[in-house]
Amino acid sequence: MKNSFAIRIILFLLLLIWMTGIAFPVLFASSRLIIFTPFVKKLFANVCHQQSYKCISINGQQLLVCSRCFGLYLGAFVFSFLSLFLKLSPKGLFKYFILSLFIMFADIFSYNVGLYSYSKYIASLTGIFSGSILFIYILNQIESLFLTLSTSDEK
Amino acid sequence: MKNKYLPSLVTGFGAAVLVSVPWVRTIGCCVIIPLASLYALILHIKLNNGELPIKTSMAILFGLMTGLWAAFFSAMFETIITFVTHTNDFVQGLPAMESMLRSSRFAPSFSGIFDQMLRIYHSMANDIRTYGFSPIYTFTVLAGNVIVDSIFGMIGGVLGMTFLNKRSTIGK
Repeated sequence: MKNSFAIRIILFLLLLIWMTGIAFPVLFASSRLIIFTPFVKKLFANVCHQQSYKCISINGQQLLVCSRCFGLYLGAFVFSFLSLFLKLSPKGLFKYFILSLFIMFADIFSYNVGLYSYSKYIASLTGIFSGSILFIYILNQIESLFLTLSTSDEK
Repeated sequence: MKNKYLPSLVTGFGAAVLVSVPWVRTIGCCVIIPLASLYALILHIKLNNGELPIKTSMAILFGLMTGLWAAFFSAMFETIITFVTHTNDFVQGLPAMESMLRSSRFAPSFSGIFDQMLRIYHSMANDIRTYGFSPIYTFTVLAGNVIVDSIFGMIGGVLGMTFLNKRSTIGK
């Protein structure tokens, strides 16, 4: 139980650092740290294409990942926070995860074939849905992994 | 022949190739490296007759190795492409980045630091335009790749392990 809470706190802190990085230009717009934006941007270039028209702007500063990636990480971050207070282990998680991926790819396909133009809101929402479910899935996997390790240690 | 590190090398190289293709990068984003880690585990089981269930330490090691190889190769590809073209997204995006930095409310009060850092950025961009290579830029790319790719590689390794172990128990 203690291990489980420690894992949740660690995941929350890691995601907090990650989200701070994503929102670096927005959060540090009034700080001297803003000068490091090109380096932080390059760091996030590994996980996102960062196409300018797909990135959300806040106060005139763009986030360092696209709307969909932002949604993914935001969903994971919000649920990592909720996991500190709630027990998140719903049934049929894998089905929901596949459904969320299907919705995401349906959106990617639809705007790529020209059914509608790119929407930051739709991209973010599909990302949030997938990110939250993916986080719960990963959390459950990690917790069951530690549970297996601790029971094998006891034996 | 048993080789523990060959699967990571192969899939890390493959991931680096995919990451270097802009179109694939747009679609693949952050799933390429975790998938490469999963495939490294599958290759290890097939090539080396690896045993199931996979141990956590091995999954993490494979994820880490895949991430590190992917980081090394993608940095190498980016350096080669930059060397050939004498430009990259950093050089192209520098003017916009500079105007964004100069518009910061904090810029006037720390103009000294800002000017120094911007001078470094400009010297990196000039090196790339003139020689096609900047040591500072290459180091930054490599360091960034190592941090991010190893994290995503290890996540992929752990998830891949649970996926493969679950499949093996269902198979039984």
